Amino acid sequence: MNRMNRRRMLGMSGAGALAAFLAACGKQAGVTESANIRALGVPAEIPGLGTEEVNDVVLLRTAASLEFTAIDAYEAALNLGVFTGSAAALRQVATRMRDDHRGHAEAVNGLVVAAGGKAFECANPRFNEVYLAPALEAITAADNADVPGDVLALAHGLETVAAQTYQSVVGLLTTPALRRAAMTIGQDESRHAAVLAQAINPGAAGVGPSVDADGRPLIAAVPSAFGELTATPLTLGPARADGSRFQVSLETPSLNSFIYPSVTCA
Amino acid sequence: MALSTRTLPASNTRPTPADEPVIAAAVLAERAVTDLYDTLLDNGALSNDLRQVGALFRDHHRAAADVLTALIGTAAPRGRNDFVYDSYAAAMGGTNMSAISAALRGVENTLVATHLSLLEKLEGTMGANKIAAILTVEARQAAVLATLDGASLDAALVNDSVALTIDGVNS
Repeated sequence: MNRMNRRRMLGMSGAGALAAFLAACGKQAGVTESANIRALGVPAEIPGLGTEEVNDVVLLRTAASLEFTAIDAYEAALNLGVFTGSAAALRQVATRMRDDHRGHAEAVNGLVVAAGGKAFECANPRFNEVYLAPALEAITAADNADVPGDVLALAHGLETVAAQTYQSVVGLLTTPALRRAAMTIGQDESRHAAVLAQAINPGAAGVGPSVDADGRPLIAAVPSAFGELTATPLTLGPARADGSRFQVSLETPSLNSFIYPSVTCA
Repeated sequence: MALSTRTLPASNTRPTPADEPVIAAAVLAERAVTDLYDTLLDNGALSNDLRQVGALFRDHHRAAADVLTALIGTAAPRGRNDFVYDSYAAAMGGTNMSAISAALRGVENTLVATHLSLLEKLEGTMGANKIAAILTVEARQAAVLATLDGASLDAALVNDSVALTIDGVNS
Protein backbone atom coordinates (compact mmCIF):
# COMPACT_ATOMS: atom_id res chain seq x y z
CA MET A 1 0.00 0.00 0.00
CA ASN A 2 1.38 3.37 -0.91
CA ARG A 3 1.48 5.28 2.39
CA MET A 4 2.88 8.49 0.82
CA ASN A 5 -0.10 10.74 0.65
CA ARG A 6 -0.11 14.14 -1.05
CA ARG A 7 0.26 16.19 2.14
CA ARG A 8 3.32 14.21 3.28
CA MET A 9 4.94 14.50 -0.12
CA LEU A 10 4.52 18.28 -0.14
CA GLY A 11 5.98 18.48 3.36
CA MET A 12 9.03 16.49 2.33
CA SER A 13 9.64 18.56 -0.75
CA GLY A 14 9.49 21.74 1.42
CA ALA A 15 12.11 20.37 3.77
CA GLY A 16 14.29 19.43 0.83
CA ALA A 17 14.04 22.89 -0.66
CA LEU A 18 14.99 24.46 2.69
CA ALA A 19 18.01 22.18 3.01
CA ALA A 20 19.11 23.05 -0.51
CA PHE A 21 18.70 26.78 0.20
CA LEU A 22 20.72 26.60 3.41
CA ALA A 23 23.44 24.66 1.67
CA ALA A 24 23.68 27.39 -0.96
CA CYS A 25 24.13 29.99 1.77
CA GLY A 26 27.01 28.23 3.47
CA LYS A 27 30.67 28.07 2.61
CA GLN A 28 31.46 26.08 -0.52
CA ALA A 29 34.62 24.13 -1.11
CA GLY A 30 36.96 25.78 -3.55
CA VAL A 31 35.22 29.14 -3.48
CA THR A 32 37.25 32.08 -2.15
CA GLU A 33 35.28 34.27 0.25
CA SER A 34 34.94 37.87 -0.83
CA ALA A 35 35.41 40.61 1.74
CA ASN A 36 33.01 42.75 -0.26
CA ILE A 37 30.23 40.42 -1.24
CA ARG A 38 28.84 38.70 1.78
CA ALA A 39 26.97 35.47 1.68
CA LEU A 40 23.55 35.49 3.31
CA GLY A 41 23.83 34.82 7.05
CA VAL A 42 27.47 35.86 7.42
CA PRO A 43 27.61 39.22 9.18
CA ALA A 44 30.11 41.86 8.20
CA GLU A 45 33.18 41.83 10.36
CA ILE A 46 33.04 44.36 13.19
CA PRO A 47 36.33 45.97 14.18
CA GLY A 48 37.39 44.67 17.56
CA LEU A 49 37.19 46.95 20.56
CA GLY A 50 40.33 47.66 22.48
CA THR A 51 40.44 47.68 26.23
CA GLU A 52 41.20 50.92 28.00
CA GLU A 53 41.54 51.43 31.69
CA VAL A 54 39.99 54.51 33.25
CA ASN A 55 42.70 55.51 35.68
CA ASP A 56 43.91 58.67 37.40
CA VAL A 57 45.70 59.88 34.29
CA VAL A 58 42.60 59.47 32.09
CA LEU A 59 40.38 61.25 34.61
CA LEU A 60 42.80 64.13 35.03
CA ARG A 61 43.44 64.49 31.29
CA THR A 62 39.68 64.63 30.83
CA ALA A 63 39.45 67.39 33.44
CA ALA A 64 42.22 69.27 31.63
CA SER A 65 40.31 68.94 28.35
CA LEU A 66 37.25 70.56 29.92
CA GLU A 67 39.39 73.45 31.11
CA PHE A 68 40.40 74.02 27.50
CA THR A 69 36.77 73.72 26.38
CA ALA A 70 35.92 76.47 28.87
CA ILE A 71 38.86 78.59 27.66
CA ASP A 72 37.64 78.18 24.06
CA ALA A 73 34.10 79.14 25.08
CA TYR A 74 35.21 82.31 26.88
CA GLU A 75 37.53 83.22 23.99
CA ALA A 76 34.64 82.83 21.58
CA ALA A 77 32.37 84.88 23.83
CA LEU A 78 34.91 87.67 24.22
CA ASN A 79 35.44 87.76 20.46
CA LEU A 80 31.73 88.22 19.83
CA GLY A 81 32.05 91.81 21.02
CA VAL A 82 28.76 91.68 22.89
CA PHE A 83 30.04 92.81 26.27
CA THR A 84 29.32 96.48 25.72
CA GLY A 85 26.94 99.01 27.21
CA SER A 86 25.05 97.51 30.15
CA ALA A 87 26.92 94.21 29.65
CA ALA A 88 30.40 95.82 29.79
CA ALA A 89 31.06 94.59 33.34
CA LEU A 90 30.63 91.04 32.13
CA ARG A 91 33.73 91.39 29.97
CA GLN A 92 35.82 91.61 33.14
CA VAL A 93 34.05 88.56 34.56
CA ALA A 94 34.55 86.52 31.37
CA THR A 95 38.21 87.52 31.13
CA ARG A 96 38.82 86.61 34.75
CA MET A 97 37.14 83.24 34.37
CA ARG A 98 39.03 82.43 31.19
CA ASP A 99 42.28 83.22 32.99
CA ASP A 100 41.23 81.08 35.96
CA HIS A 101 40.65 78.17 33.58
CA ARG A 102 44.12 78.65 32.11
CA GLY A 103 45.52 78.35 35.61
CA HIS A 104 43.37 75.28 36.28
CA ALA A 105 44.50 73.64 33.04
CA GLU A 106 48.12 74.13 33.98
CA ALA A 107 47.52 72.79 37.48
CA VAL A 108 45.63 69.72 36.29
CA ASN A 109 48.20 68.94 33.63
CA GLY A 110 50.84 69.18 36.36
CA LEU A 111 48.95 66.43 38.17
CA VAL A 112 48.71 64.42 34.94
CA VAL A 113 52.45 64.54 34.41
CA ALA A 114 53.14 63.76 38.08
CA ALA A 115 50.88 60.70 37.72
CA GLY A 116 52.97 59.50 34.77
CA GLY A 117 50.73 60.74 31.95
CA LYS A 118 51.09 63.14 29.08
CA ALA A 119 49.60 66.61 29.44
CA PHE A 120 46.47 67.25 27.34
CA GLU A 121 46.44 70.79 26.07
CA CYS A 122 43.34 71.21 23.97
CA ALA A 123 39.58 71.08 24.32
CA ASN A 124 37.59 67.89 24.76
CA PRO A 125 36.77 66.87 21.18
CA ARG A 126 33.40 65.35 21.98
CA PHE A 127 32.33 68.25 24.18
CA ASN A 128 33.24 70.72 21.49
CA GLU A 129 31.45 68.71 18.83
CA VAL A 130 28.29 67.86 20.78
CA TYR A 131 27.90 70.89 23.04
CA LEU A 132 30.08 73.88 22.32
CA ALA A 133 29.94 74.14 18.51
CA PRO A 134 26.14 73.77 18.23
CA ALA A 135 25.64 76.12 21.19
CA LEU A 136 27.80 78.80 19.63
CA GLU A 137 26.01 78.32 16.33
CA ALA A 138 22.67 78.92 18.06
CA ILE A 139 24.00 81.93 19.95
CA THR A 140 25.46 83.59 16.87
CA ALA A 141 22.37 83.02 14.71
CA ALA A 142 21.59 86.24 12.84
CA ASP A 143 18.19 86.73 14.46
CA ASN A 144 19.23 86.05 18.05
CA ALA A 145 18.01 89.00 20.08
CA ASP A 146 19.77 88.08 23.35
CA VAL A 147 23.35 87.14 22.59
CA PRO A 148 24.78 88.34 25.95
CA GLY A 149 22.09 86.44 27.86
CA ASP A 150 22.78 83.26 25.93
CA VAL A 151 26.54 83.63 26.39
CA LEU A 152 25.97 83.86 30.14
CA ALA A 153 23.71 80.81 30.09
CA LEU A 154 26.31 78.80 28.17
CA ALA A 155 29.11 79.92 30.50
CA HIS A 156 27.00 79.01 33.54
CA GLY A 157 26.27 75.59 32.06
CA LEU A 158 29.91 74.89 31.31
CA GLU A 159 31.04 76.01 34.76
CA THR A 160 28.40 73.82 36.36
CA VAL A 161 29.56 70.81 34.37
CA ALA A 162 33.19 71.57 35.15
CA ALA A 163 32.40 71.67 38.88
CA GLN A 164 30.40 68.45 38.57
CA THR A 165 33.25 66.79 36.72
CA TYR A 166 35.70 67.37 39.54
CA GLN A 167 33.13 66.23 42.08
CA SER A 168 32.34 63.14 40.05
CA VAL A 169 35.95 61.96 39.90
CA VAL A 170 36.52 62.19 43.65
CA GLY A 171 35.34 58.63 44.17
CA LEU A 172 37.30 57.39 41.17
CA LEU A 173 40.70 58.93 41.87
CA THR A 174 42.90 56.53 43.77
CA THR A 175 44.61 58.79 46.27
CA PRO A 176 43.21 61.24 48.83
CA ALA A 177 45.79 63.83 47.75
CA LEU A 178 44.46 63.77 44.19
CA ARG A 179 40.88 64.04 45.46
CA ARG A 180 41.81 67.15 47.38
CA ALA A 181 43.63 68.61 44.38
CA ALA A 182 40.63 67.94 42.15
CA MET A 183 38.15 69.55 44.53
CA THR A 184 40.42 72.52 45.12
CA ILE A 185 39.83 73.32 41.46
CA GLY A 186 36.24 72.05 41.52
CA GLN A 187 35.22 74.51 44.23
CA ASP A 188 36.64 77.31 42.07
CA GLU A 189 34.33 76.23 39.25
CA SER A 190 31.42 76.21 41.70
CA ARG A 191 32.17 79.81 42.59
CA HIS A 192 32.28 80.70 38.90
CA ALA A 193 28.88 79.06 38.41
CA ALA A 194 27.38 80.90 41.38
CA VAL A 195 28.67 84.29 40.22
CA LEU A 196 27.31 83.70 36.71
CA ALA A 197 23.98 82.50 38.13
CA GLN A 198 23.75 85.77 40.03
CA ALA A 199 24.50 87.70 36.84
CA ILE A 200 21.63 85.86 35.14
CA ASN A 201 19.14 85.86 38.01
CA PRO A 202 20.40 88.47 40.48
CA GLY A 203 19.73 89.21 44.10
CA ALA A 204 18.39 87.18 47.00
CA ALA A 205 15.53 85.87 44.85
CA GLY A 206 18.06 84.18 42.54
CA VAL A 207 19.94 82.31 45.25
CA GLY A 208 17.70 79.30 45.86
CA PRO A 209 15.49 77.38 43.45
CA SER A 210 12.68 79.47 41.92
CA VAL A 211 10.40 79.46 38.87
CA ASP A 212 9.24 82.08 36.40
CA ALA A 213 5.64 83.18 35.80
CA ASP A 214 5.09 80.12 33.59
CA GLY A 215 6.42 77.74 36.20
CA ARG A 216 9.72 77.11 34.43
CA PRO A 217 12.73 76.72 36.73
CA LEU A 218 15.11 79.67 36.83
CA ILE A 219 18.87 79.42 37.20
CA ALA A 220 19.80 79.38 40.89
CA ALA A 221 23.16 80.22 42.42
CA VAL A 222 22.75 77.54 45.10
CA PRO A 223 20.24 75.11 43.64
CA SER A 224 20.55 72.32 46.23
CA ALA A 225 21.99 71.29 49.58
CA PHE A 226 24.56 69.00 47.95
CA GLY A 227 26.49 69.22 44.70
CA GLU A 228 24.38 67.41 42.13
CA LEU A 229 25.67 65.38 39.22
CA THR A 230 22.53 65.64 37.08
CA ALA A 231 22.50 67.02 33.55
CA THR A 232 22.35 70.79 33.09
CA PRO A 233 19.73 71.79 30.52
CA LEU A 234 20.50 74.71 28.23
CA THR A 235 18.11 76.58 25.94
CA LEU A 236 19.77 78.99 23.54
CA GLY A 237 19.34 80.98 20.37
CA PRO A 238 16.35 82.47 18.60
CA ALA A 239 12.96 80.80 18.35
CA ARG A 240 12.66 78.60 15.26
CA ALA A 241 9.67 78.51 12.93
CA ASP A 242 7.87 76.06 15.21
CA GLY A 243 8.53 78.22 18.27
CA SER A 244 11.14 75.90 19.75
CA ARG A 245 14.71 76.90 20.58
CA PHE A 246 18.00 74.99 20.49
CA GLN A 247 18.23 72.74 23.53
CA VAL A 248 21.00 70.62 24.90
CA SER A 249 21.68 68.85 28.18
CA LEU A 250 25.24 69.21 29.39
CA GLU A 251 26.54 66.12 31.15
CA THR A 252 29.79 65.24 32.84
CA PRO A 253 32.27 63.32 30.68
CA SER A 254 31.83 59.59 30.47
CA LEU A 255 33.28 56.62 28.63
CA ASN A 256 32.83 58.20 25.20
CA SER A 257 34.38 61.53 26.12
CA PHE A 258 37.22 60.53 28.45
CA ILE A 259 40.66 61.51 27.25
CA TYR A 260 42.42 58.14 27.01
CA PRO A 261 46.16 57.97 26.29
CA SER A 262 45.34 57.32 22.63
CA VAL A 263 43.47 60.64 22.31
CA THR A 264 45.69 63.44 21.06
CA CYS A 265 45.18 67.06 20.14
CA ALA A 266 44.64 67.47 16.39
CA MET B 1 37.07 56.22 16.85
CA ALA B 2 35.71 52.88 17.93
CA LEU B 3 34.94 52.75 21.59
CA SER B 4 36.06 49.88 23.68
CA THR B 5 35.49 47.84 26.75
CA ARG B 6 36.50 50.05 29.59
CA THR B 7 36.97 49.43 33.22
CA LEU B 8 36.10 51.96 35.88
CA PRO B 9 37.58 51.91 39.34
CA ALA B 10 35.30 51.06 42.23
CA SER B 11 33.73 54.26 43.49
CA ASN B 12 32.08 53.38 46.78
CA THR B 13 34.00 52.23 49.79
CA ARG B 14 32.67 52.62 53.33
CA PRO B 15 34.41 54.88 55.86
CA THR B 16 37.26 53.11 57.57
CA PRO B 17 37.77 53.31 61.35
CA ALA B 18 40.41 55.95 60.65
CA ASP B 19 37.82 57.97 58.71
CA GLU B 20 35.40 58.21 61.63
CA PRO B 21 37.14 61.03 63.56
CA VAL B 22 37.68 62.89 60.29
CA ILE B 23 33.99 62.78 59.43
CA ALA B 24 33.09 63.52 63.04
CA ALA B 25 35.16 66.71 62.84
CA ALA B 26 33.19 67.74 59.76
CA VAL B 27 29.90 67.04 61.57
CA LEU B 28 30.90 69.26 64.51
CA ALA B 29 31.93 72.09 62.21
CA GLU B 30 28.68 71.86 60.24
CA ARG B 31 26.63 71.94 63.43
CA ALA B 32 28.51 75.02 64.66
CA VAL B 33 27.70 76.83 61.42
CA THR B 34 24.07 75.72 61.59
CA ASP B 35 23.90 77.29 65.05
CA LEU B 36 25.58 80.47 63.79
CA TYR B 37 22.91 80.89 61.13
CA ASP B 38 20.24 80.24 63.78
CA THR B 39 21.76 82.98 65.94
CA LEU B 40 21.73 85.31 62.95
CA LEU B 41 18.13 84.49 62.11
CA ASP B 42 17.10 85.11 65.74
CA ASN B 43 18.85 88.49 65.62
CA GLY B 44 16.07 90.03 63.55
CA ALA B 45 18.44 92.33 61.67
CA LEU B 46 17.93 90.71 58.28
CA SER B 47 15.48 91.82 55.63
CA ASN B 48 12.92 89.23 54.55
CA ASP B 49 14.91 88.40 51.39
CA LEU B 50 18.11 87.86 53.32
CA ARG B 51 16.32 85.86 55.98
CA GLN B 52 15.29 83.42 53.28
CA VAL B 53 18.87 83.14 52.08
CA GLY B 54 20.12 82.69 55.65
CA ALA B 55 17.51 80.01 56.33
CA LEU B 56 18.39 78.22 53.09
CA PHE B 57 22.10 78.15 53.92
CA ARG B 58 21.35 77.11 57.52
CA ASP B 59 19.29 74.21 56.20
CA HIS B 60 22.12 73.18 53.87
CA HIS B 61 24.57 73.01 56.77
CA ARG B 62 22.09 71.05 58.83
CA ALA B 63 21.60 68.62 55.95
CA ALA B 64 25.36 68.28 55.62
CA ALA B 65 25.71 67.46 59.31
CA ASP B 66 22.86 64.95 59.07
CA VAL B 67 24.21 63.10 56.07
CA LEU B 68 27.70 62.86 57.55
CA THR B 69 26.23 61.70 60.86
CA ALA B 70 24.36 58.95 59.05
CA LEU B 71 27.57 57.87 57.38
CA ILE B 72 29.35 57.05 60.64
CA GLY B 73 26.32 56.08 62.72
CA THR B 74 27.13 55.48 66.36
CA ALA B 75 30.58 57.00 65.94
CA ALA B 76 28.95 60.38 65.26
CA PRO B 77 29.58 62.98 67.97
CA ARG B 78 27.06 65.10 69.83
CA GLY B 79 27.27 68.88 70.04
CA ARG B 80 29.17 71.31 67.86
CA ASN B 81 32.63 72.77 67.33
CA ASP B 82 32.54 75.52 69.96
CA PHE B 83 35.66 77.19 68.64
CA VAL B 84 33.94 77.87 65.31
CA TYR B 85 30.73 79.03 66.99
CA ASP B 86 32.45 81.27 69.50
CA SER B 87 34.68 82.83 66.86
CA TYR B 88 31.74 84.17 64.87
CA ALA B 89 28.81 84.37 67.28
CA ALA B 90 29.37 88.04 68.17
CA ALA B 91 29.28 89.05 64.49
CA MET B 92 25.95 87.25 64.06
CA GLY B 93 24.41 89.45 66.74
CA GLY B 94 25.34 92.72 65.02
CA THR B 95 23.34 94.97 62.72
CA ASN B 96 25.97 95.94 60.15
CA MET B 97 25.01 93.91 57.08
CA SER B 98 28.43 94.13 55.46
CA ALA B 99 30.11 92.95 58.65
CA ILE B 100 27.64 90.09 58.95
CA SER B 101 28.13 89.17 55.31
CA ALA B 102 31.93 89.25 55.63
CA ALA B 103 31.73 87.05 58.73
CA LEU B 104 29.45 84.56 57.00
CA ARG B 105 31.75 84.50 54.00
CA GLY B 106 34.61 83.78 56.37
CA VAL B 107 32.61 80.95 57.94
CA GLU B 108 31.75 79.39 54.57
CA ASN B 109 35.29 79.76 53.27
CA THR B 110 36.72 78.26 56.46
CA LEU B 111 34.45 75.25 56.03
CA VAL B 112 35.51 74.85 52.39
CA ALA B 113 39.18 74.97 53.38
CA THR B 114 38.55 72.56 56.26
CA HIS B 115 36.66 70.06 54.11
CA LEU B 116 39.45 70.16 51.52
CA SER B 117 41.96 69.31 54.23
CA LEU B 118 39.71 66.52 55.54
CA LEU B 119 39.32 65.14 52.03
CA GLU B 120 43.00 64.42 52.02
CA LYS B 121 42.64 62.34 55.20
CA LEU B 122 39.71 60.19 54.14
CA GLU B 123 40.37 56.66 52.96
CA GLY B 124 36.85 55.53 52.07
CA THR B 125 35.32 57.08 48.99
CA MET B 126 31.78 57.31 50.39
CA GLY B 127 32.97 59.88 52.90
CA ALA B 128 35.07 61.64 50.29
CA ASN B 129 32.13 61.84 47.88
CA LYS B 130 29.89 63.33 50.57
CA ILE B 131 32.47 65.88 51.66
CA ALA B 132 33.02 66.88 48.02
CA ALA B 133 29.27 67.30 47.47
CA ILE B 134 29.07 69.48 50.58
CA LEU B 135 32.07 71.71 49.99
CA THR B 136 31.05 72.48 46.42
CA VAL B 137 27.80 73.97 47.76
CA GLU B 138 29.59 75.90 50.50
CA ALA B 139 31.90 77.42 47.89
CA ARG B 140 28.79 78.60 46.02
CA GLN B 141 27.38 80.03 49.24
CA ALA B 142 30.57 81.97 49.93
CA ALA B 143 30.51 83.40 46.40
CA VAL B 144 26.85 84.36 46.71
CA LEU B 145 27.42 86.15 50.02
CA ALA B 146 30.10 88.25 48.32
CA THR B 147 27.88 88.96 45.32
CA LEU B 148 24.87 89.95 47.43
CA ASP B 149 27.08 92.29 49.42
CA GLY B 150 28.40 93.95 46.26
CA ALA B 151 31.94 92.85 47.12
CA SER B 152 34.68 92.47 44.50
CA LEU B 153 34.97 89.53 42.11
CA ASP B 154 38.04 88.44 44.06
CA ALA B 155 35.98 88.28 47.25
CA ALA B 156 33.59 85.90 45.52
CA LEU B 157 36.18 83.75 43.77
CA VAL B 158 39.17 83.58 46.11
CA ASN B 159 39.24 81.65 49.34
CA ASP B 160 41.90 83.05 51.60
CA SER B 161 40.58 81.36 54.74
CA VAL B 162 42.61 78.61 56.34
CA ALA B 163 41.40 75.20 57.41
CA LEU B 164 40.47 74.57 61.02
CA THR B 165 43.15 72.65 62.84
CA ILE B 166 41.57 69.65 64.48
CA ASP B 167 43.63 67.66 66.95
CA GLY B 168 44.39 64.19 65.80
CA VAL B 169 42.74 64.75 62.43
CA ASN B 170 44.61 67.28 60.33
CA SER B 171 47.04 68.77 62.86
